Amino acid sequence: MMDNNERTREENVARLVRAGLPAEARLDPRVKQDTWHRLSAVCRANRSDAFPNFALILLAGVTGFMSLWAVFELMVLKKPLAVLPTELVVVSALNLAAILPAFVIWVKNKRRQYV
Amino acid sequence: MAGNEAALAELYNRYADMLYAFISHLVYDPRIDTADIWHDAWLAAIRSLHTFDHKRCRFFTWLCSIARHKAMDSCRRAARRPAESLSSFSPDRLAALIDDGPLPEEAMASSAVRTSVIEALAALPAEYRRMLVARYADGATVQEAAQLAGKSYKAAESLLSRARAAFRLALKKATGETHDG
Repeated sequence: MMDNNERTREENVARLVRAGLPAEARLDPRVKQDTWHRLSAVCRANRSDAFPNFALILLAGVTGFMSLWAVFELMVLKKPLAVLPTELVVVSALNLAAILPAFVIWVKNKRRQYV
Repeated sequence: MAGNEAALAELYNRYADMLYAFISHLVYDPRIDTADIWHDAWLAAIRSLHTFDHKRCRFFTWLCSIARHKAMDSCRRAARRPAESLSSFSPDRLAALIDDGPLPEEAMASSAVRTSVIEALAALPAEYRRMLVARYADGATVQEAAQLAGKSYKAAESLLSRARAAFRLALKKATGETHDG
C-alpha cells in the first residue's frame, strides 16, 4: 500500500505530466507519418551528396589533365601559344561539355532532396 | 550518423512527439503553427547532424536548442514577441517541492516548468515514458496501462513506481541543466 508521501509524489508526477502533455501539445499521427516520409527523403539525398558523383570526378579529372598538359607544353616545352590550337580547343570543349552533365546531376540531387 | 536512415528513424520515433510538445509550450500562440516550426527543426537537425557532439549534450537537448531558434525566427517573422508564460514560477524550485508536498497550481502554468517536464520525459527509457503518458496524460487505469505494456497488473504497478522515481530524478536534472547553462 502507498503511504501518504508516496501518494503526494504520485499526484505531483501526474499533474506535471498532464501539464506537459495537454491535448494541444499532442502531435497528429498523420502529420508525424507525412513528415517522416519527407525527412527520410532528405536523409537519402544527403547520403548521395556526401560523396561527389563519379561522372563529375571523371570530368574534372579529364579537364584537369588536359589543362596541365597544355600548361606543360607552354611552359616546359616552350611551345608558342599559336601552335597549341588542338589542345586548347579540346580543353575548352571539355570544360563546356562538363557544364551540362554537372547541371543535370545537380538538379537531380536537388529534386530528390525536396520530394 | 548522417545518412543513416535507420538511426534517424530511431531518433524520430523516440523524440518526434516530445519535440512537438516542447515547441507547443514555447510558442503557445494559436496564430503560429507549431507543426511548421517542428518540421523546420527536424529538417535543420538532419542537415546539421554532423555538428552534434554527444559528449557536450544529449540529442534531445540539442534538438530543443534548434527548435528554440526556429521558434524565435517564426515569432520574428510573424512580428510577435515570444509568448510570455502564464506563471513566473521558476523550475529550480521544483526540486525542493516535488518530494515534500503538493505542488502549487502556478507551477503547472509555467511554460519553463512544462518544457522541463518534456525534457525529463524525453530523457526516460521508452518503457517508462509510455507508462507515464498512458497513465497520467491519457488517463488510463493501471489495468489498461498494463494491457498496453503487455504486463500483469502487479508488474505494471511496479514499472509505474520506477518510472515515477526516474521521472522525478530526470526532472531535477532537467531543471538544474536549464538554469546552470
